[in-house]
Amino acid sequence: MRESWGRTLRLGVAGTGVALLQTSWARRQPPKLLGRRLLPRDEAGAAAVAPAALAGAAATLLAETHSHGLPATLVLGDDCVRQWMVTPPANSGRLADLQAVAAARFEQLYGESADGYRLSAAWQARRPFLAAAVAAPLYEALCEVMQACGLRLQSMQPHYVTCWNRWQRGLAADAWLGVVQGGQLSLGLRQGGRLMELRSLGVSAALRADAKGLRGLVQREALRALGAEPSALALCGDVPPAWLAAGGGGWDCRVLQSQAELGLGDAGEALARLAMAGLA
Amino acid sequence: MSARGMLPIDFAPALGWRAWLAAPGWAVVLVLGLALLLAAGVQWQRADGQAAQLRQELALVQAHLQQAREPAARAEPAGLDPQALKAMNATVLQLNRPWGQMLNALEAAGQGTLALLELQPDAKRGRLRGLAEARHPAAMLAYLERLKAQPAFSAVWVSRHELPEPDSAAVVRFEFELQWAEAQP
Repeated sequence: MRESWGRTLRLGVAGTGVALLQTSWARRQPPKLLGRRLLPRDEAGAAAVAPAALAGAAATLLAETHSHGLPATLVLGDDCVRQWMVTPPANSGRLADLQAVAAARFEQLYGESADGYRLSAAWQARRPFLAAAVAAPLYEALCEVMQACGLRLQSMQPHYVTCWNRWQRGLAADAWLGVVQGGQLSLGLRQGGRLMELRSLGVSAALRADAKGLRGLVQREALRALGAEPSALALCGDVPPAWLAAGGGGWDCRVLQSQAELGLGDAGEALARLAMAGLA
Repeated sequence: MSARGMLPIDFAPALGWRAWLAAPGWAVVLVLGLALLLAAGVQWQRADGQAAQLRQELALVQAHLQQAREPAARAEPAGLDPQALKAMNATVLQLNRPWGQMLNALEAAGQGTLALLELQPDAKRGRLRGLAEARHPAAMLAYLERLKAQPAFSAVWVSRHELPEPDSAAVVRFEFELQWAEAQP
């Protein structure tokens, strides 16, 4: 009881596997990586349709670390969720109207009904807002693991949302926020401090080594959005080392890292960074 | 977006009050609250004890004060000068007379036939001396007879009188004394 007092768990869940982190509300103790489980290659990248594999990996990891009874936070990789912007209809005053529009937009974008997904959104009646969905089988499987291990699920958020909530207050009003996870860049277009668009972009190995290519990517997205190139880009997550030198020429590009992530160093693994997302 | 630009997107079920209580911060708040409650309880108990002690002391002081008053009242006459004590007793005796009853009896006996000019009590001997004027001697005698009939007086007599000249319109002035019933010299 005494050992568990003040401890919380953070479980990062991505298509490639899961990572388990232990934190303590006592600031002197840094987060501790308890372990990780990688999925076999043929199952990697198909987490959305293989919830059993992910849940099994999480259950094995939790059982090994004897984490019964602790509060837990789940960070879902952006490859495990679907995120899209929703424009509310004019004169919409009810939540049911917004939910219907969000579901309709989901079906329009992804070609399938939202009935098999669990939705959550930053509901707004007058401005475009971000909505996210996780496949119901994955959600239920993870909840069962939490319950079986006696953990108290406090939060289950997408990776981008976790990073946004952690860093957005310190950003310039028109600075964009990008979250890198493996081969995916979730790029949030900001204007006046608000999220206007969220783009999910593939990051090839070549692009990971090309700082100039990053700026070109940002410029193209700005043109697509019919907006000006942002004055600054903030990146967090599994940022390639080459991108650290992307700034310059009147364009600010910086990497946001928590104290816990700094402790990982350059060799830090993506799943560990995923579990640490949102920490101070 | 919610206040301060946060995105309130969360797939986890809504947290109940138990989850809030599970947060470590609330444990600290709970412990501090219990500590403050305990300290307040101890303080209250101390104050209550002090109040009880003060009430007890007050009761003792009041009792002592009461006792001091009673013996002082009883011992006072023994400590007085005999002459002063005599004078005091005489005054008390005088005050204890039924003056109202006697005055009523005097007035009732008058019946408007005479004028009562002066009264001088002598409480020590239980007497009352009066000076009155009547229209004629018969009225004087009738008044004295009526005074004798009053139960408040045991004896009535004339100590001095002045009869007017015959065929004179002058009144009869007389002095009388009476002894009230319970007083015997």
